[in-house]
Amino acid sequence: MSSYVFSKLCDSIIASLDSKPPANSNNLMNYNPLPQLRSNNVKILINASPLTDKRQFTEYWIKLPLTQHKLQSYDYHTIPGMNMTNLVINGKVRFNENGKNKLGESAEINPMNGMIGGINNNNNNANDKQRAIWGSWFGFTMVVVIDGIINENTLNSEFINSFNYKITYIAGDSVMQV
Amino acid sequence: KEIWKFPLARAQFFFENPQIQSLSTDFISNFLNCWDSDRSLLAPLYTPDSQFSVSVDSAAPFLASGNDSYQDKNNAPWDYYLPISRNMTRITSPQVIESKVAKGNEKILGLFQNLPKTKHSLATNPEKFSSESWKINDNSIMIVLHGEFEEVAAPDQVAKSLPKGPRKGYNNHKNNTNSKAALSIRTFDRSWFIVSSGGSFVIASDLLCVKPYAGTEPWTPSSLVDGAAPATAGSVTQSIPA
Repeated sequence: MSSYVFSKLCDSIIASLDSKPPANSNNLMNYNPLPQLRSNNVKILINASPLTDKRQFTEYWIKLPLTQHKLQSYDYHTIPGMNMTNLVINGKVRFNENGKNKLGESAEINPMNGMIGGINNNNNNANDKQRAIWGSWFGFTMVVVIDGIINENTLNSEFINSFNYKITYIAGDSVMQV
Repeated sequence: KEIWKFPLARAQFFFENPQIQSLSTDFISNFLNCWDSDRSLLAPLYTPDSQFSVSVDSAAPFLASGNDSYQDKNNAPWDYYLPISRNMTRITSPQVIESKVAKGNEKILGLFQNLPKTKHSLATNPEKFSSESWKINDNSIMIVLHGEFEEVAAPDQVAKSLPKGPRKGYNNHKNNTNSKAALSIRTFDRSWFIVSSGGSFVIASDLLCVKPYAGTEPWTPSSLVDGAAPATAGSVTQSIPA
């Protein structure tokens, strides 16, 4: 597998984690933040807390505010004879601090309202209608284990058997708590 | 306020089961002891097919913001690391990418010699480290370690950048000065892909990422910070299937 494929994969992982749920998606049917996660027999950790499966990852991720990830480093080894790849991605991430998660749920107390003209929008898709307020950058590390051989045409297939997402630097001046 | 919290509290450690906990804690402790004292002792853990590489992510978020609370620890240059770094956001040539991964015991030990001598305070300050270990399949596990190390001496062999055309002479001179680069304290992430083999185990893949010092806050369990019990979020449970 060429390094070009892994470059594309890193971009794809980050773009999917940062994607918005479709409008009016009160159920999770149309939201697929990490399509490469295997549906079965997958290991998922976020900040060393385990999730049981892909559905729980989706439920978890939709409860976070919108994110912006920026890739800063990646490296990988494909293990001979096992058809598996160990991929490590490092970078920075910041969160939309406008007081809404991806479901449009508001914080009980929203000190940001004043800063954005007092918008108090109960619309479920409020993220589309409110300007994002990006907080400070955090650091992240992802350890991803890939099963099988991937190529440019199969980058959204289910081949991730382990996904370990870890915040490795906490911005002291962000309202976001890890 | 829940909007601004990760749905599950952060933890310092995750071990999928007690056997993996025992294996990985012994492994990490023994590995770091050898790493800090005599890296050649680690040779038996690698096979001719094993791979090791180092990547440097020198652009920490707090450096970019100009708000570096660890500034005194992050003044040292990256001279020892940059010639061997396999950060693939910085290099694109397939030949260079291939040349930066060490394959087999001999080359892996050679690359170990290019890294500064270190001290990890795992035994005395375990709160400075965080790790996760889980089973990949019946005969392999992944061990991930995050933490910090202190550089205590220059590498045995200082790696040199590839000469660049007509500036070869200049670069050689410049590299000679690298052996005097200042030492520092660094944050790192390391992942070992471990495969069992006839009753013992070997390291198939060893990826080390070295970063500016970024403190220990992310390794502190949330329960120690705000007294909260381990969080549960909706149907999210605290177990991972075996």
